[in-house]
Amino acid sequence: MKKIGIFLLATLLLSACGMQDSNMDTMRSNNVGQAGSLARFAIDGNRLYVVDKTSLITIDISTPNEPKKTHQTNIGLGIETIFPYQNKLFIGSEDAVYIYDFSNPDRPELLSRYQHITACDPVVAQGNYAYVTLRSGSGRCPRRNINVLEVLDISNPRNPQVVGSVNMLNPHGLGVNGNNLFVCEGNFGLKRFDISNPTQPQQIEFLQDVASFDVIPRSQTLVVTGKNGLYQFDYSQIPMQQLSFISVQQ
Amino acid sequence: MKKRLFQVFCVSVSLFFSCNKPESKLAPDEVEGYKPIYASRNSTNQISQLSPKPLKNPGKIYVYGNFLFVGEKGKGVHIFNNTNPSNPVPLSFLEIPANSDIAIKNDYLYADSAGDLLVMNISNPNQVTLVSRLENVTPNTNFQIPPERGFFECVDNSKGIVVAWEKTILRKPKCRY
Repeated sequence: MKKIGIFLLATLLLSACGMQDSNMDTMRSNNVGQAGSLARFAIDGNRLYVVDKTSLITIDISTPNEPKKTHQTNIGLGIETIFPYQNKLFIGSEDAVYIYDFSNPDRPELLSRYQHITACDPVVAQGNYAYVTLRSGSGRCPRRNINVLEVLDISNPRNPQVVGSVNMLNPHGLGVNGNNLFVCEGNFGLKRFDISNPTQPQQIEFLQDVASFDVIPRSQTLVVTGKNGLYQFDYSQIPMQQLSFISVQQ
Repeated sequence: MKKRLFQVFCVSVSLFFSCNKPESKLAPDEVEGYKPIYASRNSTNQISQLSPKPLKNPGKIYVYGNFLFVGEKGKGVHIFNNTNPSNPVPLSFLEIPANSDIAIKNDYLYADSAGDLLVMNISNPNQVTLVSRLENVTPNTNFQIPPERGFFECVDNSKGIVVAWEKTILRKPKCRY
């Protein structure tokens, strides 16, 4: 009887190990990468969401060898970026931020459209807040004198409200992780804000020699691209420490 | 009411198209602007993995596990082994014509290429293989207009697919935005 008990215990332990392994496999099999804020592609679950200049396209990628387009919906003009966060897609365009719910992955539902002055605007989200940069006067962006970082309260995604704003120089991509918000200021440099009070970003660093276009904040390290090249920083301290730099070559 | 709606519709349509419509009256004889660079659909069907190339115009970025992907707009992506962020090691340059974006899940890389969606297996990052292509998913990409506002040479789709834009001196350009 005792032997059977030991046998059962051993079997249980073994199967527990087995479960752990298969859990790890599942984790691995749901391994999705992380994009910068200027992306037009976003993966969630078995769907790839793509924005082109006017629409949102859903592609079923459950079988990678056979991707299938399942849905396309017209959004508006000048669509630029897509950011997936908690069953929602935050879409930046030349004059608005759109929030879509994709609880039904092949029928994304428009929850709201927050219209702003015409400017270029990537958007990222964390918790109850979304951060949007509005830029004008260079490249494709309309020539108006608006350069600002806006904070939106998205606790009710059907009715986002502007709850904060910070004047900027020439903002491009941005990224948020915990209490840190990074904003690319184009050729003017790279800014770091403390957002422990999410509605009132406090600038804590401005690296004027790091021309920046887009960023990805990982748990401790920051990846930055700009006209001079590719930078990586350790931002666990203030000031952040440069880890590496690969220069462009013409 | 219907007539009114129709008028509004006409005005919005004409406003929308005015961005790309010929404006010959305003077009100067010579002006700096962009002209499209075309490729035939056949040549855009090629993807190839080349030895690492220097960064020229680094743009969008993507992190996947210990790998870092840096976009070279219109041309493809640089792949780095980024196990040690203090020393990212260039592995290769993935040449993808008219590419602007990528995303990765479970070792499959999804990339746009001249309106098509490509799927590549990157489980061996030194030997990336194309596994499928979904044609004409995003025909309305950014490559239809140049990277900066101003005059540009109108796109002629009979010449092929626009894969890039080149700054040059234009003679009486008919398009602007």
